[in-house]
Amino acid sequence: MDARTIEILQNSFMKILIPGLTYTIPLTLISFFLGLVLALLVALIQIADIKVLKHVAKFYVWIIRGTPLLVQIFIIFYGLPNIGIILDPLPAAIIAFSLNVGAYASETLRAAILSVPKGQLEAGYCVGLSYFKTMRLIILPQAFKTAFPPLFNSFIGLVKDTSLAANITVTEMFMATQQIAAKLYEPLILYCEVAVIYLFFCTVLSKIQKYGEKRMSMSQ
Amino acid sequence: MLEIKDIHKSFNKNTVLDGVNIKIQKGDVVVLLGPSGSGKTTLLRCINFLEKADRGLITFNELTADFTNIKKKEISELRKKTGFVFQNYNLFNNKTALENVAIGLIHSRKVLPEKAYEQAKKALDKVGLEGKYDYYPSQLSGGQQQRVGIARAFVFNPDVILFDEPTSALDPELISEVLTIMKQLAKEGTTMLVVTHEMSFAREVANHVIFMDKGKIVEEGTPSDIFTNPREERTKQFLRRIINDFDYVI
Repeated sequence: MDARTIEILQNSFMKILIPGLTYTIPLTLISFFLGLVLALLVALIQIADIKVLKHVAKFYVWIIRGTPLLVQIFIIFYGLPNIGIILDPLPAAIIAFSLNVGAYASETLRAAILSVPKGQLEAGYCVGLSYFKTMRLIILPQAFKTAFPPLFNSFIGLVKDTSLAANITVTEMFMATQQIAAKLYEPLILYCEVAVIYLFFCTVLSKIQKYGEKRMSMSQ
Repeated sequence: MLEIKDIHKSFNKNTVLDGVNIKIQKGDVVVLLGPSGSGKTTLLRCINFLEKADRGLITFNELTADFTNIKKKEISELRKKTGFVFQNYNLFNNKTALENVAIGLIHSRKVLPEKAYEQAKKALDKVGLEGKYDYYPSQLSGGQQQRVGIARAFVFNPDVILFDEPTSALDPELISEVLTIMKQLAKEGTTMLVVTHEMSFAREVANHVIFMDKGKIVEEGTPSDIFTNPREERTKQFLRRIINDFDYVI
């Protein structure tokens, strides 16, 4: 590595990392949290077999899973203004990512809930718990343990997917890198640098996942 | 105290209960016998509304209701007065032994947690599980799990406890520890309806034995009626097979 490369890496490092910490990570956390709430709702609607809502839920999952995330982002940010819904880049990105996570994670949660033996619900009834109390106290905690690894998968995926928000001018980590690369005309060095930072984020998350799984296997 | 009249239940076209009547008085220990598929378990499950009966009447203390149009509220009232012990225990896997016993007290009977845990500890002590309060079901043997299951059922002081083949999933060595507790409960005057293949239990503990086959009651009476003087050919046939097995084991 020559001196110029090292200098570029050094000078750009904070300029890439800071948008990572101020945009990429908050964008991921907020979208994932909202997506998870949505996913739980969608999964429960299907499992509790609530009539009309069940079809709405299925339709939603079908649309989101069947279309590219980038296209969804474009529809929300560039398309919706045509019908008078004008969103700032960041809220548009959060909506798109939350909807996306919601669809995928709802299937994960649904499968995990169904994997809890039916006897658990029956036992809940027999000690006097209602359907919803049994869900909350007994079924969901067990389902969550099963769902934890695949949900974490989605979470790690989302960290990287947030780079798509660069397309709608959210100045997250990748957008920041693009700007520096355009100025210095050193795409190879800079894109590799941002790739390593993404890799670092995801490695930390993998460690957290391992730790979380270990803790959960200790109880029960 | 508990009376079931003319209960019917079928799964698709398969008739499982074909007009069964049962009457249980306070303090009774009633044992339901019969070959597999005779409808014993389904009967028990219908009484606790884990299955929905197609037809029939249930009278429980002052309440009489039709199985077909019973209200949700009545179901939960009835369930609060019955305990249920499952064949495969069905302990809450994410809860400790103590929490398993206390959870219904706290969340359905609105007992204060402190008091509920105290009661739960007493119940676990009674089934010989002092010192296992904080164990999760996966850390307990089958016999221990079933004893937690029994404690979970009697901690409410229910009017009747329904036992669905409580020892069928257990290793032979572990059966006796569960039966001992059931005998003790019976001695204390607990009203019980028990589906079991444990003939020794039926003979020694029951005051009424019902033999079912193909969704109907074939014969019923005191243990000595059934075991020494069965009238029906089907009962004799069943007992001959079971008792032979029984003797053979010994």
